[in-house]
Amino acid sequence: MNRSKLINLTMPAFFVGFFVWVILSTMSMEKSEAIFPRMIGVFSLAVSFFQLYSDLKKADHKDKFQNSNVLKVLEATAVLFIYILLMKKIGCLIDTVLLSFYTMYALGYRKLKVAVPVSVLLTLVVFLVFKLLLRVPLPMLFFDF
Amino acid sequence: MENILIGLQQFFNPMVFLALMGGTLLGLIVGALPGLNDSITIAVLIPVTFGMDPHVALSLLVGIYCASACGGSIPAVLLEIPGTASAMVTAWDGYPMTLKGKSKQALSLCMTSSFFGGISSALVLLFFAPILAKWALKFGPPEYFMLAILGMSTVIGMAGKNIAKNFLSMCLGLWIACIGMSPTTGMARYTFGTASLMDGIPLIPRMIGLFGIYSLLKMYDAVGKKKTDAAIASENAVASSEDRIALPGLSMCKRLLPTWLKSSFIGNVLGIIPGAGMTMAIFLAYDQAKKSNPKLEFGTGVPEGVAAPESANNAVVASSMVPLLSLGIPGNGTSALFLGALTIQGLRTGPTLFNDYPDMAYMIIIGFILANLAMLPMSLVFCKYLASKVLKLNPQVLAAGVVILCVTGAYSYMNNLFHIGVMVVFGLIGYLFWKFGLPQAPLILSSILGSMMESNWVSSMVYANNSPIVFIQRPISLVLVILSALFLLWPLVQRLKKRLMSVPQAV
Repeated sequence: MNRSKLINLTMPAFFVGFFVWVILSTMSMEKSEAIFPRMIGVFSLAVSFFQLYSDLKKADHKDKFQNSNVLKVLEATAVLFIYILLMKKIGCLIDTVLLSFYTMYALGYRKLKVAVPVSVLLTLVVFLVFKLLLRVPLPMLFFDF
Repeated sequence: MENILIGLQQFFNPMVFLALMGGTLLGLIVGALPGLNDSITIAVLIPVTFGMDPHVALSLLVGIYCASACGGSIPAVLLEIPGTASAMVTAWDGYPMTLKGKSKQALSLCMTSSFFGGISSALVLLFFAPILAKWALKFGPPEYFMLAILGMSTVIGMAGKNIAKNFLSMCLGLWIACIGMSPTTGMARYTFGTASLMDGIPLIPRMIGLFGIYSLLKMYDAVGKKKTDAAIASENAVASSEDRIALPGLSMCKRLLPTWLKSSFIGNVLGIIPGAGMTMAIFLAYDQAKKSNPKLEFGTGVPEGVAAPESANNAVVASSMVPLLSLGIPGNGTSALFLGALTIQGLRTGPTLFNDYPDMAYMIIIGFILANLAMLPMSLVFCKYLASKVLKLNPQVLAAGVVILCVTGAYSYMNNLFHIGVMVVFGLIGYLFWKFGLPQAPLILSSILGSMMESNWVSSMVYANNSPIVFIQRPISLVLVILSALFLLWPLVQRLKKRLMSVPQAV
């Protein structure tokens, strides 16, 4: 089995596993609350098997991740989670400035003399609108008032 | 007629008029900010309006409600982030128009279509409110269940080549709708011990993830990749200067008129039915536009793809006030807040409102008409200056702005960091869906309609002693069953038609 086919099969295989878990999880629920997720689970499982069978039978498979920078996507996702973790440690302002700087830099913007002030400026504009005008209680930490 | 004049007379008070205009501008601004919408703004402003003159207070709220659905389309077109949930379908063709260098045309179409839908629903509210409200009350649990099925069958009917993938996407959305408290027992399901999931996965962070973060991840995916000819062409297209903010020409108006009429009709009908909601209207309108224009490639930036959801969502706005003003039943969350505002001002909604307080009832209705009239030029000017600024930005700098708006928008929805996490997860889901060729539309719609489906399924079964025949015994439900079947079978009919057409050629 080639790499492209294997990658393509992960999707229906995931759905088969996932909906088996959905059906099994309804076993511990009360009848009235289990009926709807069970109906979804059974129907979806049938569709997932159909999709798995279709993909297995298919002769030509395109590599969906060819030419994709998956590592960069994972890195960006991890950075967003780190952003959430740091929010209460360093406050919304610093955290958001760092995130916006990372976004520009990671996407290939290398003019640091522009990127740094732009990150600060963008953050301040959004801060002004949300915190001061719309009174959203952003977790500011050091700069709260 | 006399009552209409009484309603109009209220706006000769400069404070009332200014409140309406201010509310319209505020609605445009909050609509354009992801994470904020009309409900949040009205909820925040209700306590503020307590001390105001009732006419001023309600004019302000009418302006906000009217314009926010329209404002939501601005970031949907420019950045692929819907400012409000009602603009999510607009992004499907609006953003591709931006990539083609037609962002200003897309924004102009959004505003004009919103105006068309808004005015139509205000007129419906003015002339047909009591009659339509009584009709809407005939909807019971079986009808609501079938309405949800109809909504989903339209999305499945929109499927291109792979219906199985559409079904998988839909089922995942239905499962997502099961997260949180069970509507029957109140017990937690699939919350994994997280208190933040007890109310389910909130819509706004989910949408910001599926649109905003997803488009950012797509940018990361392309880092270091050799640019395709299409990408280079789209970059060059953005620099084009022919695109401008203006009312569509006569030929475009003629072309879009059937779409506007159909979508406004859908929006008006669904707006009147309490709980049917805006989401269903925009999906149905988009689907209808797609079916009516089979030669157009929807999703690639066609004007009809922008006009349909925009006229439908604004048509829902005033028509959702029909059951509220006529019967005292709020049509959706925002009109429920209106009920609160009216109650605070000492007014009782329902059939007596038109007799006891004609000045107030008709002022609200005329307010919707005036707010729509003001919204069109105001939104065009707003877009003219905003769009030109946004489009001049470097894409990487713009991405930084998008990410800040996304995280702040997701957080400000309920002031909860957990929702930023939800947004990231859904951004990743959107990215994986894109990679594996799974459509997002069924996931979005079914995750919204799932809870409505479940609770109405349970109620229908209780009502009919577990007999599913109830769905074909009631006339409205039966019509919805037939329509659902037609929409589901539509792709098959189309394929059969194509095959039959190709037979003589082959011969």
